[in-house]
Amino acid sequence: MTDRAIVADGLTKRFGEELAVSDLSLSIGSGDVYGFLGPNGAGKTTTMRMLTSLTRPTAGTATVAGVSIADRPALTERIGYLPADPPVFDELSGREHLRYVARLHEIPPDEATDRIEAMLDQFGLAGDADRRIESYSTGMQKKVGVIAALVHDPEVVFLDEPTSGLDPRAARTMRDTIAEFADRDVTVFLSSHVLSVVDELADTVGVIDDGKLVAEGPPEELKRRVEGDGETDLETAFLDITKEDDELDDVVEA
Amino acid sequence: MLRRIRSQDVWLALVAVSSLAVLAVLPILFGVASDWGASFASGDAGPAATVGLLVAVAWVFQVAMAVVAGVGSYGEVDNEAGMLTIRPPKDVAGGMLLMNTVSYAVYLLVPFVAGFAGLSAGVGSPLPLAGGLAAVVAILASSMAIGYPVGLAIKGVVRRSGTLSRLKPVIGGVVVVAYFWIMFAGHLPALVDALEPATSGPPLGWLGDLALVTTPGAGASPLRAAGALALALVLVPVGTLATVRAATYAWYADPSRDDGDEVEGEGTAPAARTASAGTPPLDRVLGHLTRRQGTLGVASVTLVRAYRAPLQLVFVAAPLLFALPMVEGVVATGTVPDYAPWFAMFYGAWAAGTAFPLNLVGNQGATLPALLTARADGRQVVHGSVLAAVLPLAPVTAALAAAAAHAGGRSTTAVAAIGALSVAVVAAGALIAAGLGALFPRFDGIDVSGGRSAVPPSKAAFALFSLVVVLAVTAAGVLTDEVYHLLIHALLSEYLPFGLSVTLDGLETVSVGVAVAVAAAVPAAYLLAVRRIDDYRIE
Repeated sequence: MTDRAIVADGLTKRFGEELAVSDLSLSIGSGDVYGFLGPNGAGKTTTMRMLTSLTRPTAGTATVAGVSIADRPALTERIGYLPADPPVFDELSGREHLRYVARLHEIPPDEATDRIEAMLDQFGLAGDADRRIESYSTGMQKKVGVIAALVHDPEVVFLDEPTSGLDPRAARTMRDTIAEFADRDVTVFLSSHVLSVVDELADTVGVIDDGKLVAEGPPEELKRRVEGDGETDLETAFLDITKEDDELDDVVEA
Repeated sequence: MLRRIRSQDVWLALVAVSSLAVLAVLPILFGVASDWGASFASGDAGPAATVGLLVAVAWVFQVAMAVVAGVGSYGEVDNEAGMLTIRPPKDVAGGMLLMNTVSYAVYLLVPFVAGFAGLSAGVGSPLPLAGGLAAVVAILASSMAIGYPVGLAIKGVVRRSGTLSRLKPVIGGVVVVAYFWIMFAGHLPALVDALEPATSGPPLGWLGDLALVTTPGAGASPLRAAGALALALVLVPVGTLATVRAATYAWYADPSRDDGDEVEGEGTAPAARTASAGTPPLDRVLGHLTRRQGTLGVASVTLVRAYRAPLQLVFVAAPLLFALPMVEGVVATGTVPDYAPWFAMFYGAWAAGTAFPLNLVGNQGATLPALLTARADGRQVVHGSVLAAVLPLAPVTAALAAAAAHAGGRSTTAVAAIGALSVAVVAAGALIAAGLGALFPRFDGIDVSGGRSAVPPSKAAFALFSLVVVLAVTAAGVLTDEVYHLLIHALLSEYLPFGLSVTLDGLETVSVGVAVAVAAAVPAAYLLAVRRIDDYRIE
């Protein structure tokens, strides 16, 4: 493990004429929780897909856990990814799906069983683990997706909206899990619209808007950027930062 | 809406083929009915009993279709939560009964119009059409009023029963096999004979009178015809009320909770489970065939998903339609055609390819990111998908092909060779399909039932793979089976265009070339599939 878990240099992605991510550079330390914020359609998911090797960048390079994102076989051993829509098979039970994912990660069966059972207990899903996923609520599916992303003990975890759809207790478990991962020197790349979660957990926050990284820094620093001396939260800072960017766009267009 | 219809391309193709088949039958129906009309016109009312029987049988089939509609997807509400919170269930249920009645009208109208137009032509008067149309209305109204609520009630029972819910795939399979057995194995006349007391007596027999009441010389009873109409009129409100009750029973059911006991050791506390104790039988079998966890996982999950959602594989059954005349011929004559073993082999290879490997990327659906960011590489994914197809299909294909070869009088050596070749052809088919499927993946689903959709292989993959399998099986047959060699030679001599001809030796040479090309295509397709998956990106 290098001291920089994620390093991106000029990462760019075009879909035809549309510029989804523009010249994105990141440097995230090992064991950090990086909060990745942005309005809908700003390029968060595309960025995560590039960093997880699911999408090939149009330009730029990046390494995750010291491995180039072009080297998928080496990368997959080190990363875990939870997309916004939990990647689960409806026809399987929660336990079957997790066993499937553990097999894809080539975890020895006994070890996989231990890890799966521990995490099912941790997320309060043990009692429902033999029901088919098609009967699960959105939150329960999300829990299965989260466990699947973490079951192989990755060095870097990419979580896209991990707390959406979770009940308060499960959301708390998720926050504790992320904090626990950070304590174990696991790097967490966290995209969420629940800004209180990001505020609580993130060491650094990056804000992407219209494909460009428009602000980056510790949450407290971003809050201080907001004009006025009143008490400011991350939501206010986020709205202010993205508004600034929108206004800049308006000026450029004019 | 048009875009949605266009996206159902597989269904549109099947509808087109079915329509052609129906169009071919209609002139025959018209001709027979015209002869019956001529008999009526000459004072012979003999055909009236046959017409009455056919009309009553049509009612029985329409009831069966209505039951199936109620049980199946046509008994489910699209956007259920939204619809049932906007309108009361009686409105929704009534609307669906009406919608289904109108939808099924075409199945009756087309043959009845053709048949009664024929009667009119034979009689020399348009009057029979009026009776025929009145019969269509009465049959539709009464059959839907009875069958549709029965189907909905069955749906409610199944939803409430954990056992029945689990057995749905098996029950569905039995019903489909029974349907084909009755329809295409020569058992339909026996069934009609068995139903004869009910179809000729009241009130079903009255439908014949209604259908023929306006046909001069048919001797239909106006009183019984009026009775049929009156009964239909009574059944409509009763059936509508029953539909509302049954729909409420079905739609507001608390679904039985699935405990997944078919895969896990029942009654074992989760914390106490161990890898070996919780290993399902399927995984134990697969564990004997592969040591790679990724391969085992892909194969196991592919088969479990297919078992639990078999309608996702409905398109795999398409070539079986072409086998029906052969099955019918075997049953009727008691002899197995020479090409039967090769058809079995063709279908086995085709099914092994189309079931899973021909869309091994698209089949992953929303879980594709999980697969691509896992340690398992392209080799394991391809191995797993091919294993899932070959494991059940190779032995079945080998057994069917060998049995057909044996029944066709081939030598023991030839039977053994055909059996062994079947296994190789099925495996080769699955591997070639994996290559084509990885090259032409498809992610757009088609509706198969209720909220379920299936993702069939792309049209390009389908077409190319079918062509390769036909060529491969034909070449294999020519090279290993003298009877088949002669059969193909005879066919080519008859149908080769532009004055082309081929000798027996020439055919053998061409077959060697095809066999070599296909043999070379197998490893090439395998490597292509592996590489495509390893390099696959979601764009």
